[in-house]
Amino acid sequence: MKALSRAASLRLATGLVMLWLALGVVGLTWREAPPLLVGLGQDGLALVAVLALALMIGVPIGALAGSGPRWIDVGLGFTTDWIAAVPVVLLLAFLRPVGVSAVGELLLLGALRSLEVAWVVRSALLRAAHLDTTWAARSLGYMPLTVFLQQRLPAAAGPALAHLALTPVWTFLLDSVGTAAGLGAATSERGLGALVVRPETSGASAAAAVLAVVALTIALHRLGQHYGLRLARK
Amino acid sequence: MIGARPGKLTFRRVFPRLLRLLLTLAAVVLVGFYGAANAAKRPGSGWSFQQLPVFVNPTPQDVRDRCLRAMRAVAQDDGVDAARGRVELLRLGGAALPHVLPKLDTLEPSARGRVAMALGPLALRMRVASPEDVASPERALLFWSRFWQDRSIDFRPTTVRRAVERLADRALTLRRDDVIHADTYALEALIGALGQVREQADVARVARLSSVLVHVTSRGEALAREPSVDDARRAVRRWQRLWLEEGADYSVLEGPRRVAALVTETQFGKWLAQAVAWRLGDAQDGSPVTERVLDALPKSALHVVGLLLVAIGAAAASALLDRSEGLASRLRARVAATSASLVASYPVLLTLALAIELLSRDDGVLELCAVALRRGDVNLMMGALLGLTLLSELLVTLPSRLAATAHGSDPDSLDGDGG
Repeated sequence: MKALSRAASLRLATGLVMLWLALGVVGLTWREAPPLLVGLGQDGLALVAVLALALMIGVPIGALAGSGPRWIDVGLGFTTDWIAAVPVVLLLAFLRPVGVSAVGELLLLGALRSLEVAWVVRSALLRAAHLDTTWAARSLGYMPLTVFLQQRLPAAAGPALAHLALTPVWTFLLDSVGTAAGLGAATSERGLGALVVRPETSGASAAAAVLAVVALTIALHRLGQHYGLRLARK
Repeated sequence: MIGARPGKLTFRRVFPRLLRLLLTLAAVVLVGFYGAANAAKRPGSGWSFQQLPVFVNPTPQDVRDRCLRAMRAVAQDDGVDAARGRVELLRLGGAALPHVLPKLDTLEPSARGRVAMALGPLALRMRVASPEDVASPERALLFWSRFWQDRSIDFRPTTVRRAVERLADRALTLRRDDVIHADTYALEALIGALGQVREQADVARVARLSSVLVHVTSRGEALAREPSVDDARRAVRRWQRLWLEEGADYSVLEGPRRVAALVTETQFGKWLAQAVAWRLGDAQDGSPVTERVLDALPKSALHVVGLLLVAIGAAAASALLDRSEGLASRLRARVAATSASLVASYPVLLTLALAIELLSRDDGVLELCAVALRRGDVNLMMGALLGLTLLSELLVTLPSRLAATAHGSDPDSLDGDGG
């Protein structure tokens, strides 16, 4: 029964993500699309870019910081310190005059998210190293890389995926707070975050936008849980 | 790993932290200032240094560059440029004479006369000539030639400084005239001699020097007949501000001073100078930045701590609700993972705190930062950003310590989970 409900929730999560993506494509391609659909499309686009960058850059950096040369850890620590001192919306507002395009802003957001993911992976790796039970195997001559790939990295996948699952809320929050503070939306002025703070947006549209973001976050969390567990079991 | 017992302050623990804090502050200030300077480009921002480069000035302009350019414009013809040049020469005043007068001979006769005539009003301001002396180009040229032969020795920094010191000590007409004869060449010494205002004797000194400053710059207002200490302080600050804004226009940048001017003659250099001299300076509306930031900091601290506690509390509650075995280790692991996530997502946490401040209309330092950036108020923005950075660095230690305890590293060292 429990396995069945797990499978159902997994299927529901996959369906939700697919539905979001399909509606997003409609929102992006249909010229007369209502603002909510456009917002879904814009947020979907931002999400794909940010998530892809975070996975491609954040995970390797975090892995290196957690187990590689010390200077990478120190460098990541300093950068995280620096970034942590300022809200993202302000940081984006500071850097906007550099003249970055919409794609440039997405890359910047992706880089920021990568640093966050890198820090989470690095912390998870340190925790995994602390609880490492493979010392006996290593003493028998197993390569440290094998231990790292088979034991520690899968152990870090769970927290990293859980962190990544929060990305829809992250972009939504940045867009809405940036717009409300008069500093401009982080990803797009037509995203869901900007939509909810616009005075002309109806309560129903705002509620639907919030619901969509929350549903996507839960779906991504469920998918992350599933694939994180599978990785850990391997 | 550090051998000292946990919590004990040792040099090896404090030094790296301090170094990281300083580096973080420097990085935040540089990026923040870039944003603030760009925001200040909008009209009505009140930022006086917009015309300067933001961080590096490869060609800082001094009095020599300015007065020679103005002299060439005046020498050319009687057009708009010449009119501007005449105004500029009069503004630069006595500080321009050591550079303009020796160059007069290099100009053709008619141009020489035009420049000498343009300097006529200056001679009257300096009280060294009568209107008849500078009534025609020929007479003006003759007057300036003689003037420079007789008085060039007075245009030396030590001579002028001594004259200003004498005036600062006691007001005598002769002493006053000595300084007025040097005109803006004495500006640096005059503003330096204003000093700090603590008692009535300082007020009298400021009153003496202030009246000469009003005369030589043709700007500002003389102090009231019996000024108070506050009046004198305000006057000193006005003159210091003028020097900060236009000081390079009246000085020669040579040697180390020219090298320093690469940074000091920039928007960042000017902001830094007034931040150090006047405790972060004043906001657009004239209110002191330090007071506003100190008022706003506790509110933001409350918001950030509240959010941290909610997140950590939620993690702990989720561990308690889970009915599997090993409650203590599960609790520890969840709190540690959430804390590491909080350290990583700290800028988002701050964004959330900003959202709370916007919704509750509670003037925290985060909202202050956003408002100042929107208005292009550089002083307020930078002050708020400095306060925010220190607050963030202080509060991030809570989740970073909790995260570090999970993998048993020393939270005080760099091996800890950050912060």
